[in-house]
Amino acid sequence: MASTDGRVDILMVEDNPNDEELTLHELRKYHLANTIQVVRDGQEALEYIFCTGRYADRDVNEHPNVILLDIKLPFVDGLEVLRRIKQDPRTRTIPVVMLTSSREERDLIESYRLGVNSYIVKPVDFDQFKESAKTLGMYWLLFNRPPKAA
Amino acid sequence: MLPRPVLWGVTSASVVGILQVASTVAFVAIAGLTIRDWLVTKALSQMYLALAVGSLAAVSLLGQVGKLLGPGFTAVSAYFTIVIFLASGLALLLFRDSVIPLIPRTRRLVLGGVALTALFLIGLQVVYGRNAPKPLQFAALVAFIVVWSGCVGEPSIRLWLSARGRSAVQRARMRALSLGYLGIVAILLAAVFTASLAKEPAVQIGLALASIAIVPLLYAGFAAPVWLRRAWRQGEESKFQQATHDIVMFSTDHAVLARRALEWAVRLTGTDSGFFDSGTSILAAQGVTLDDAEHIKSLVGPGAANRTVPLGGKPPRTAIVVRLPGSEASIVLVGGPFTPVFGSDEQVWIQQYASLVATGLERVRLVEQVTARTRELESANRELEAFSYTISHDLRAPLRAINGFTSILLEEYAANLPDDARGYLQRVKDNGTHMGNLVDDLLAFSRLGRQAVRTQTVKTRDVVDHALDQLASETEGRTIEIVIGELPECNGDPLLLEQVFTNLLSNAIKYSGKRENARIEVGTQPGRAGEGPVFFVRDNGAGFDMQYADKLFGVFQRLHRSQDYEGTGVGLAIVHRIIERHGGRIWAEARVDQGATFYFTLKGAQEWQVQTAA
Repeated sequence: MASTDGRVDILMVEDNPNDEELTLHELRKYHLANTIQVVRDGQEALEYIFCTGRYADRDVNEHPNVILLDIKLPFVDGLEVLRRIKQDPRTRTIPVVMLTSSREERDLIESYRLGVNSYIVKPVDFDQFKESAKTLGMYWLLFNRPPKAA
Repeated sequence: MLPRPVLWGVTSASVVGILQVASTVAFVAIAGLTIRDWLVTKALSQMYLALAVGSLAAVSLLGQVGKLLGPGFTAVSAYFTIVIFLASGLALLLFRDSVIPLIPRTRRLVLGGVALTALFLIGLQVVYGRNAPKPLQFAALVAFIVVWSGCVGEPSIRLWLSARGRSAVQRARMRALSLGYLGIVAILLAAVFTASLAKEPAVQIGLALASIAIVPLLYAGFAAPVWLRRAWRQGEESKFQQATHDIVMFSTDHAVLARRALEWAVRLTGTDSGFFDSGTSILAAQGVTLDDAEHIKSLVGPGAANRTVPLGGKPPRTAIVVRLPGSEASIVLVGGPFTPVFGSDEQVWIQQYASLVATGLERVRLVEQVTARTRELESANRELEAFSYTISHDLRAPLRAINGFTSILLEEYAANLPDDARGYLQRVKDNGTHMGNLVDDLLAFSRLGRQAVRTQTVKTRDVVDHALDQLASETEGRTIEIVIGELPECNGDPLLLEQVFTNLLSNAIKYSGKRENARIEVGTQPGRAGEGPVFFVRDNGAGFDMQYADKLFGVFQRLHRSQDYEGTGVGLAIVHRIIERHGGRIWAEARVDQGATFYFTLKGAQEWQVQTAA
């Protein structure tokens, strides 16, 4: 789903295919889904972001505009992925949005402590879900201006 | 068998006579004191002591009577004198045996020896009277001295040596006793070896003075008065206090307590070593290996009584078992050849000590129990947290999928669906939403259990206003008269209190939904003493049947059918838990179709009164 020049607008880290489909469905409505890269677990996310393993030929300085990150992920969990992104000077500036089912206070606090840019609880109610997906896409892709990659 | 006085001069004869009478009187007096002690305590060891001193007094008395009645009496009394004198030695040894058991073989040997000697001496007297052949007389004398000195000398030396490391009182008494008896042995030996000079008044006076000098020693040993014992004990008191303080206050677990209790028991009793037996296992050992401790434990056997058990071996050892009252545990002290004598004084002391150690043991048991329970609770709490985390995350995901895809179907494919299919899909979606609410409410409820209550002074009126603001969407399009009465400040967690008012008001709004003139009242009324004001929320809605009132605050309990009034049945359970966690109480009054009133109090209400008074 990456655009022809290899640029990716959104990196979505999501292991639940239902949530993936619903999110994509909404983003597509607003034509925001053309350049979404989906990875299914924390390990693959790290490989993609740091250009190792399966994504060894990618350029680490090619940043997505935003990373949508679930907390509960196979292999490496979302908080660990977040920590690694925010620790590395090359990737620190990429906006990361936690998009998660967890309503736990400690997950929220830990995410902000690690430097997350936004924390969104996926609503069960679909109308609310649509609203957040739309706002999310609009804000991070259209309004937000990330710094140039280091 | 004191030498007969012979005239030298009037003065010296009367001096010797007076001294001998004085020594007899003193012996009889001490005998009286020991016999009284025995009658008071009824202890076997005291009986032997009474016998030992009483027989010495009897020998002395017989000597005096003999002087008055002349040689005829002396010839007869000689039999008694021999027997009584031997009995005195034997009694002292048996006293020692009753507190420091002799090895059975030794005991048999001694008893046999004493009996043989007595028979030999009496036989000699019966057969030859005073005219036995010289070699036989000499043999009899040697046998007598050896047996008697052995009987008396061994306990005396033992007492002296085992006084080491004892409590001050015991030490002083034992040394006095030991010196007293050694003195008697010395006088006897001196009397025999100076037999040729027996008629010299100087020798007689010396011996009489020596026997009088022994009296205070025996007095101190056998019947030490309270003032003397107090003086001896003074230095010990602080030591004992320190020991008990250490043990009861600063022992964190069984092992530490056992080690300290044992250490001090050994120090206070002056034994060599010992171990602490919990009843099932050996918690601490000092001076003995664990294997040895197990071995000794099997030798002393089970039993609830304090006791002294000879262990045999080379050198022979003795175990003193001190039971800790109210538990299976005991402290077993092991002594070597010089095991201390346990007098009644020390028995009381060690008993007191055992009670204190038992108290410490109980305290430690409670501390350990609390620690274990806390650990269990913490682990249960962690499990619960993990559980609700799972619910939070995993249960919501499928619901989101159900809602999401039905919504997409309803919105984007509605045109292709027959009407009833759309209706069914709507039901799927509604149920999904309802279940989502259930999960959220349940989570909120479970979170309440572990959330800390942060109490502060709360402006109740502000909290109620805020709660009503939150409920604005529920009152939209309805005419409700909301009356807010006097609401004093209270002490509580503002967020939790807002939750209470939000839930109660939301119920009031919901259940008065079918009233045209809905009226909701919030206010206070006086409560019971010490309880502060009673807050209430009243409505004129559907009410409920009071016979189901006990189900009101249970989770998922509902008193209305869901097609009449929507809800998850968690709201009042949350309210109940919040009030409970504040230390207050909650109840309700209602009648079907007449409305309901919910009352609650907060623990902090009383403090509020104090604050306003100040």
